[in-house]
Amino acid sequence: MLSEVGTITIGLALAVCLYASLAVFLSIRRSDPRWLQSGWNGIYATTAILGFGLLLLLFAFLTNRFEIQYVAQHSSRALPVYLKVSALWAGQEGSLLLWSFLQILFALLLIARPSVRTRPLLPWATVILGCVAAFFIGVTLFLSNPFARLDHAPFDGQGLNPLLRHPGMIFHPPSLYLGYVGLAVPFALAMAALITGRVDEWTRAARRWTLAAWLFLGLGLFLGARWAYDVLGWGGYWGWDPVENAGLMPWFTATALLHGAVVQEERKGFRTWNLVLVILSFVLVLFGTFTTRSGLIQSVHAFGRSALGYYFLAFIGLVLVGSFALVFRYRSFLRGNSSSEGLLSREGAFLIALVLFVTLTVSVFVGSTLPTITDVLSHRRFEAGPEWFDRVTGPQFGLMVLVLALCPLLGRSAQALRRLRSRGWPALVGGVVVAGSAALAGFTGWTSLVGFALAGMAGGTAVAEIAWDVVGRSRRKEEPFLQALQRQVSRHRRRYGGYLVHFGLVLLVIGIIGTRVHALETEVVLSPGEEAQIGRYTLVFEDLRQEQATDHVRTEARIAAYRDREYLTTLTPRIDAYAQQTVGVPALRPGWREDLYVVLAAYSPTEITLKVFINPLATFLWLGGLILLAGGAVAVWPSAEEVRLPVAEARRRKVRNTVAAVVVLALLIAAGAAMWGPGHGASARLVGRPLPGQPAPDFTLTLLDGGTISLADLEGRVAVLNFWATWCPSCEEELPAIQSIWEEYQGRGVVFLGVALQEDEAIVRGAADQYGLTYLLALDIGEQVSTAYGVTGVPETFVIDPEGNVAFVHIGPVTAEELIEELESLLGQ
Amino acid sequence: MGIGSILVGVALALLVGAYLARPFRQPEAEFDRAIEHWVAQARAALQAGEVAAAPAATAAEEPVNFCPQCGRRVGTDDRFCAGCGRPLR
Repeated sequence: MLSEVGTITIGLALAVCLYASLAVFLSIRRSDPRWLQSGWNGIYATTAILGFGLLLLLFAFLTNRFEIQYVAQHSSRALPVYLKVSALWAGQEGSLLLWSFLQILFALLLIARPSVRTRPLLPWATVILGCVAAFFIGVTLFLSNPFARLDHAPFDGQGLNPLLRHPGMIFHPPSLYLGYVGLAVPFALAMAALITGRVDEWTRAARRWTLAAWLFLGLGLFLGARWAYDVLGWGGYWGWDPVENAGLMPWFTATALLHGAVVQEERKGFRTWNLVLVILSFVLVLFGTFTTRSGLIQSVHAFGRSALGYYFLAFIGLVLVGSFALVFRYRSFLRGNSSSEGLLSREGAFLIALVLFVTLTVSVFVGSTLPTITDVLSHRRFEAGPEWFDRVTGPQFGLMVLVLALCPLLGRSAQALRRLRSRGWPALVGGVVVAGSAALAGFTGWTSLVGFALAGMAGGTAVAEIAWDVVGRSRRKEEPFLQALQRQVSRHRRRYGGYLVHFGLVLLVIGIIGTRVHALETEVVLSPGEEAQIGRYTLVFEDLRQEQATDHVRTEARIAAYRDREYLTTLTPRIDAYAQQTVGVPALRPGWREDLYVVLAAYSPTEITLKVFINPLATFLWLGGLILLAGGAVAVWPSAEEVRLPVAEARRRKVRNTVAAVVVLALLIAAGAAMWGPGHGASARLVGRPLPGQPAPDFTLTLLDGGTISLADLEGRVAVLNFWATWCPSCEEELPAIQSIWEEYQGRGVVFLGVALQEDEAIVRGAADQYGLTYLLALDIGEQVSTAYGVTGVPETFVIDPEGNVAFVHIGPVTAEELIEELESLLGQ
Repeated sequence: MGIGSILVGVALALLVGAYLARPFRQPEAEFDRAIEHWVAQARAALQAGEVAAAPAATAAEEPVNFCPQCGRRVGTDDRFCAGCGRPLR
């Protein structure tokens, strides 16, 4: 029943969506508003039907309807509810359904509240968006129906791919889809503008749509980057999934479009450029979906090789041919004023930026498809690795940052040089300061210093441009600085949003240089209690714990991390072994200067293999990304100037905008908390265990046979401090050995002190009698001493040298041989 | 396919069909009659030599006031005349 209704729903949606496109087309042909209204009703109806379909699928997931193949493949009874919800888009079928829904939803949003500028473009834009949505709905219905039934419903589903069990699964795919889907709107508006001959109006009409799509796409990429950092073990730049490139390319072209649109709105320039960019953005979105569904690119995102790819390829071809045919046919509209201001002007800098964005896109495209192309041509895959990408795109990014530093300084060509001379100094100061402080912090090296200097120049310019404007306004209007800032920003949102984006990009560049050029990666093998020195960090492997969860076995290594031999935190990298797959979850200790990042690569009962990364300036990546997106949000927010409305309507909108902002902010904070919040395998205790060579923490204990003992009493003598408990089996094992060594060494001035982590004196006395313990025994009342020594479990043994420093540490039971060897080495000195 | 699913499908389709057809349910003839009526009115007015009255008719639709003191045109919500300063309300 459920699966049948679901299939009927999608079929109905397809029919209605096709009808809607046709009806709107008829309304254009016959100039009949009733057809237009009916067509728009069709868009509304399709959205409602597909929304209903999504709810049905969600219902199927929540009620474990495993007779539906898609549910059986991507869910299981044990799956937490939030992951069941996210399983909606975990596979190809569901994600296509979601895509279709969002696509038609965007068409609805476009027609629901059209601005004066969009109105004349709406009919054709609706036809185009309707056709695009119909394609996706059709593909969903005929080629990958999420409601397809299994003949025999299994008792339990296969569960979600373990790699996808992460909060990122909630936020990353939907925001990417919103970005992808959103880019179809500017495309549709641009084509409508071409057909109706309003080539200068579409960029303004599409501005906020492009910005919103750009913002969501950027957010999706950003969250994806963080997710990969958090789970996949940080493949590194370009070593990430090639499909991320598929998301990156339309983001580049959309960024270029946002810049080109500025020039078109100001000076009617770049008309052809903008059309080409908007077509490219949309086609690259389709290309991205094509690559994930064709098996063309090997990746975690791939949904497996399927016939779907060919349909997407055909659709891409259709869009390309159709849109460029339109451009060619209406080329006479595009002849605008081709006043060239020369490269040394703002317009020239914009041109250079556009060219760079396009060459970057082409480079990434070539790099992503090269393995497949070479495979087809010569049957040898040429893998374009990180080095290839670095060499090809590195200089382009460098040039881009240089343009970023200079572009805002350039006005019209006539004044360019003068302005450069008078307003160029913040760029120079920024460059020197950033490169200088990077060099002082130890990030030397020719390439990275050039990169830091460029980033500093761009940052200096961005900050100075804002400061000049605001200070100027605050002088002119005699407003306080903050008020001037707020007014200035709310009047010119796009401009200051842009500066903020540039500033975020600068931080991003700093982070990229740090993590790309100065990262340290190493592998260590440790047995319990052993320590390893990596850079400034000392890692001590404490123990390995295994735990059976409902559907996987969790193996967790506990590692105490010290920086400059001072206790920092305890890291717990782990490996989760599911039936299908094992997933390594790294432990991360973030810091301003660098992140300490530890992956449990392999384990055996006697030792573990750790991959340790030190990623400098990684925090700048996230901070930069955040500021960049915030800049986009500033620009997309409706400016007060733009909307002239009656007071009541304005107030209503203000309330609605505020509610929307609060909801979006809450979602973002939830995403941020889930992905950047506490945890990530690092939990700091108050005090860490002293490392060998460090002074032993002071203590005072009351002994069982009366009298007290403190660290000062042990001066000049070798001491063995054994933390134990009567309920601990491995303590019982080592007690006889300790007693016999004590008997052997008591004549040579060695003090043995057993500290029992138990407060019941009678039990401890009983145990002492049972094992015949004759060395000093004390109770650790309130666990004060064990806390001071950073003891995390029993038994642990500290050997203290005559100077009162810790000489040896044993986490877990100590063997007689080890202890004798250590005592001999201390006494022999 | 179960009878229930078919019923749900048909119901959905009917509902959507009715919604899509709604713009057409206001018959075209009504618009035509209305337009014919306006045209007839205009023609009659023209024959009666009342062409000049037409702007006044539209003016009556949008209430416009004039200052009783100086005759300057003022907004309906204005409290003072912008020309002479006479209080209007």
